[in-house]
Amino acid sequence: MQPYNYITNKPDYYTFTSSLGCEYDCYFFDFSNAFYLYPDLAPRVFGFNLELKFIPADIDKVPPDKRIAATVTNIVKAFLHQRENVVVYICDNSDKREKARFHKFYHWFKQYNDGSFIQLRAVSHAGDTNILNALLIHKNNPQLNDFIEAFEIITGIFTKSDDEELGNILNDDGW
Amino acid sequence: MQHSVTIPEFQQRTAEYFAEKVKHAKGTGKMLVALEMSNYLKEARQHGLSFEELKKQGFKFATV
Repeated sequence: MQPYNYITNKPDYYTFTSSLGCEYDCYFFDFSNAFYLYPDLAPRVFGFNLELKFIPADIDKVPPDKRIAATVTNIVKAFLHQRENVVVYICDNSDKREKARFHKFYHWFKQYNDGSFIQLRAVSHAGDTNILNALLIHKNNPQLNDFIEAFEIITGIFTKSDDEELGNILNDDGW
Repeated sequence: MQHSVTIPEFQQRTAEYFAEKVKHAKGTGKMLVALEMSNYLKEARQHGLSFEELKKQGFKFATV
């Protein structure tokens, strides 16, 4: 699958345009706050957001486009590979579509993973909110085990297995 | 006939706000703050804030 060409607007964000004329921005932001108890790791933890910035007027609903998956995963993989950083993806829940995002992002990285990257998924329970998130890390990251351990503790999966819940979410056709 | 439209107010935040909030969060509450910050950035962009303006609020971004 041929990814779209993207533009790197250093040092802040990436942008690309689909064949239908939809414009997307994506960016990595400092995520050290959540890892402040791990000062050796925190500076290399980044969040990731993908935003649809523009839809042409003649398009009512943006149809599925596999080239977007190829483009976004290319951008994230380049970021992980060159900087030895890690990315935490938290699914936006403001429109109640976090399950769909979780499912989509998981399969994007499953499909386009050449074996170099590890994706660790988690469902964090905080009050009444289920936070669907994932850690993406290069398998040769020199602090691989430290990052995974910290992620498991922060997300709460260190003390409680969420395998069953993850399975339920990924098999839920409701979204 | 005129219809009134209520536009929800957008509360601007700083990176320091989230840094302080996460320090007071316990356990997985840290992830809740992280979610709030991630959603805030998206919302800020929807309200027209540029990356330069977000950086003035203390947020940091990275590319390779």
